[in-house]
Formats: sequence, structure tokens, C-alpha cells
Amino acid sequence: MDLQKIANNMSKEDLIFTYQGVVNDVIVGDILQLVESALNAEEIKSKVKRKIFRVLLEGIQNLYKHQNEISEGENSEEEVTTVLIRNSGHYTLIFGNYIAKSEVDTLRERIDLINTKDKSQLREQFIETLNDNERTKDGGSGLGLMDIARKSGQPLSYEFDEVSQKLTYFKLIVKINKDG
Amino acid sequence: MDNLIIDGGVKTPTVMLNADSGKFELSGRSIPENAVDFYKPIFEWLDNYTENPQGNTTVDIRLEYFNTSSSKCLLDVFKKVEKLEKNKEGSVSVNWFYETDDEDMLEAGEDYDIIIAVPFNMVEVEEI
Repeated sequence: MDLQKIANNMSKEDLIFTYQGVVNDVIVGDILQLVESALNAEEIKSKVKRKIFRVLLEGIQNLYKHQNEISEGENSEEEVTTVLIRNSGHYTLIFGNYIAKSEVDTLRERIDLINTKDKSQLREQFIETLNDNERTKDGGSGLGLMDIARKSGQPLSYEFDEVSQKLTYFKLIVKINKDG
Repeated sequence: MDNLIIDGGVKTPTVMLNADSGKFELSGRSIPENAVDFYKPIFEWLDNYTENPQGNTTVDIRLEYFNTSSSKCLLDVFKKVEKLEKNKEGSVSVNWFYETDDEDMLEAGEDYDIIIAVPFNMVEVEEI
């Protein structure tokens, strides 16, 4: 993802946080700390700050998990992106990571399915998944995307950019309303 | 049996499990990448406790943030104490604290209340 391009398309004040690179335990912690102090300076209700922080937390830990899945090849394939932008009526969070091209369809279907559900249907599905004893092999719970969608309260957007025959860059775009 | 006390960290909650009083508390943040590693000693402790429980067990959850990796673990904690009530070995109640206006945290507590068959008290506070 071309961060420079995103940055050039907006005034500097609107770009609150960007990170592009490899993530590990320590970096995830540092990012969370940085964003939390950046959010403290925003003139919005604390419940919206918490919402943004929760989505960022879930999104970045999701990147961290998937980064580890694509570990073969060059370093650049492990790079993830996190962006937080202030728009006029909302905030936008963008999470980018490389995925295997073969995973694109499944992921697209998962997000599309989430987007078809209203608030109470999404809650129902979340509770069902939470109460399901299955845990994915990496210790994840399959709840991340649903949790992000619930907190956002708006449809999730995404982009898939083909990088090579095997790799695709996946971008998840999440909006959060300024007034919650 | 010994009490289990774990000091909170940047990504992990403060844990106080008191076997003599039957009062448990989790507070702070529970946001480790892999929550199962963190919660394992808590599960083990609870398994021992539920063999010889107090008549009344109270669980206080005062969390500011928790991730979905922790949400399964919290459910496991509730399921372990829920057994006491199901097997009529003791009464259990959960106090779920949330800050005024924090609808996400209130809703998260209600999610557990739907799944778990012990009474959840939603406790609104100014600051967690």
C-alpha cells in the first residue's frame, strides 16, 4: 500500500497515525500506546476514543496473526500497514496485510456476509461463535472481524490488490462515526 | 488453598482470586495477543477452587479493554463458576462494571449474560 499516496491526498492535520513495517509484540504495544495518546488530543467523546482504540487493537492484532502466516520469501511480504485518519464526520482506520491469493475468495465472502447482517443479527452470530468451543490453530477465536464490524456499526470496506501470482495485498477499511 | 494474585501489566489484567472469601476480581486491560497463555494458571486455579468452593462466589469484572482473544477466556472463566450453580454446589454472581456511556462494554457484558446461567449485575460507574 502506498502510504505516501494516501498522505499526499490529505492535509497533514487529518492523518493522525500511520505505520508501515513488520510488527511484533513490542511494536504492537508501542503502536497502541502512541495511538492512545494521539486520541487523547482529539476533541471527541471518550466513548468514541475507546471505540477507535478497540477497533485498532483488534485490527492490529489481526494483522499480527496473519503476518505470521505469510512468512516465506522476502521481508516486504511481512509488512503490514495501519492508518488512522480524521475525516469530517468520522474516523477511518485502514489495516493492510499480504495474504495468499488463494484466501481472497473466502475472506471476501466472510466480510460480505458480515455486511449483510444488521446489528442484532451480527450480535447473534458473535454470541454463537463466542460460545462455540472451536478455537483456530493460532489461538484466535474467529471473532475479530465481527467484533470490528459491531464496534464500527457500519459496513466494512475492503480492497484486494494483486501483488504477484501468489500474493494479494488486503486492505480493510473501517469507519467510526465521530458522535459514536 | 492459596489465593492467586497476578499484578496487572500493560496488556494483562490485575487478577485477585481469593479462595477464603470466594471473591474474584479481574481489572485493568486484557489485551495480550495470545490470551490462553495468560489465562492458563487462572483456569487451573479455578478448577481446584470449584472442588471446594465457598457457599457464595462473586466475580467482579472491571475491565477497560479486552480483545477477542481474551473474550473466549473470560467465557471459560464464567463457565467454570457457572458449574457451581448448575451442580447446586454454591451460588454465584457476576458484577460487570462499565463506565457511563461505554455502550460497547455494557453490550459485551450482556453478551455473556445471555450465554451464562448465573445472574449478571451490570454496574455503571463514573470511572473504571
